[in-house]
Amino acid sequence: MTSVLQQETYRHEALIYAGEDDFVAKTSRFLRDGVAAGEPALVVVSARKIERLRESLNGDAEGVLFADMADVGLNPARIIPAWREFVSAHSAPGQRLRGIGEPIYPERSAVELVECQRHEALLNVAFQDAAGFWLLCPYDTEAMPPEVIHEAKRTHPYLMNGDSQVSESYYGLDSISQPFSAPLAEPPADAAEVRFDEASLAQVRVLVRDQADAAGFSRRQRDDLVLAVSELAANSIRHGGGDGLARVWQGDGELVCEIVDAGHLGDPLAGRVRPKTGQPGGHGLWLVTQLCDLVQIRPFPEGTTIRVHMRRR
Amino acid sequence: MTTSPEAAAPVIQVIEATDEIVALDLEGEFDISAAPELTAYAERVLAAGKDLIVNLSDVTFIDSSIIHALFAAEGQARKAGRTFVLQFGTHAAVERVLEITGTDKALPNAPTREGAIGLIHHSV
Repeated sequence: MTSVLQQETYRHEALIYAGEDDFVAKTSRFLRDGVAAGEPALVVVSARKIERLRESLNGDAEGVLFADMADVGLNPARIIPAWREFVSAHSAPGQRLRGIGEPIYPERSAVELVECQRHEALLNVAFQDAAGFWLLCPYDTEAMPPEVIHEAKRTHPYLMNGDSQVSESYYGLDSISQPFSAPLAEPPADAAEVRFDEASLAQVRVLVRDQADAAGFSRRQRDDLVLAVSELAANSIRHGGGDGLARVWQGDGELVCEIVDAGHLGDPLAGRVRPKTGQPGGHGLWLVTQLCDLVQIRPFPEGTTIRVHMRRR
Repeated sequence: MTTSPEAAAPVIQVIEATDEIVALDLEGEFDISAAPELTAYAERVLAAGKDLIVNLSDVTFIDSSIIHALFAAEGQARKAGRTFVLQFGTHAAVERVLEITGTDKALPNAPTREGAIGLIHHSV
């Protein structure tokens, strides 16, 4: 099956492994091959696995960069910009690059897992033109349930199983480019809410500020959440029909806010592309993604819901 | 809908800092609904042939539409052959937006009025 892969294409590949030793053996081989071929590599996995990999590579890690997934990918929507930075920093004609990214691990909550799976799917859209970039995404069969492994085969066009193989169950770019419609849990009936338009946008900030104070958030976290939700509401005014509904409620150790409006978000990568400094537009969702712990964007027939989560630290 | 007392309405004061420099002293919360007014004030100052200071020291909130208005004002100042300086440095929530958007690195700025005037004199 390997022959179907052109060397210079973008290869987004799931690596199914069983346990940490198997992880180290398989990813070390992948990295050693890259080092031998003079291909820069970035590894974004847990701190523990970084340590194990460094040991295993035993000084043969020249040109290999490491980053802790807990820092880079707490909010999985921040991972694509990190890969983008790595790819742009090394882009040169004919330059091949390797990456290992493991955004899905047992500590992820159920809502985080869904956004991580969406992230994995969007990696296919984000780097479709990144010729020569080979990105390996490890999945641990000993740590993750079978549904998660099945979904990995749908979000990755290739599977590494000794050799690279085409994944028969891959969703495909057309399907992935459609708005993401995984269901959201209903907001609680007692969620605080306010309707807003341009004249009353400040009331959205009052609502979020009050709720964050009541929930015992630090000033910094409160201000971050106020800014994020205000940006979302401003987007409703600009692109979402001029008004919307803001809701806020307390979750488990977190505050959840959502904005519902009549707008439609066309770009599946919205919020995952760093805007150029000073460029008009494109900053709102970027800020939201940088400030919040999790962002859920969902269309419904008459509009869009964007829900953000902020954990109390 | 009535405005709650906790939401500080945006106010712009026009101050003649020197014969050649006009400062816009902003106060309160500035979002997308206040951006057109800020742009109009900045245009008036530049049309009068003055250098421009936009002072965010007493601003408690800005969003990305204000960032856009600041870059637009700086671009217009440059086109008019005048100097634009941003004055800020007292409110963490404002500094954070300037920082994440890279505005603090991209636009000339100073923490005080004297510093802002100094930057304008220096640039001439």
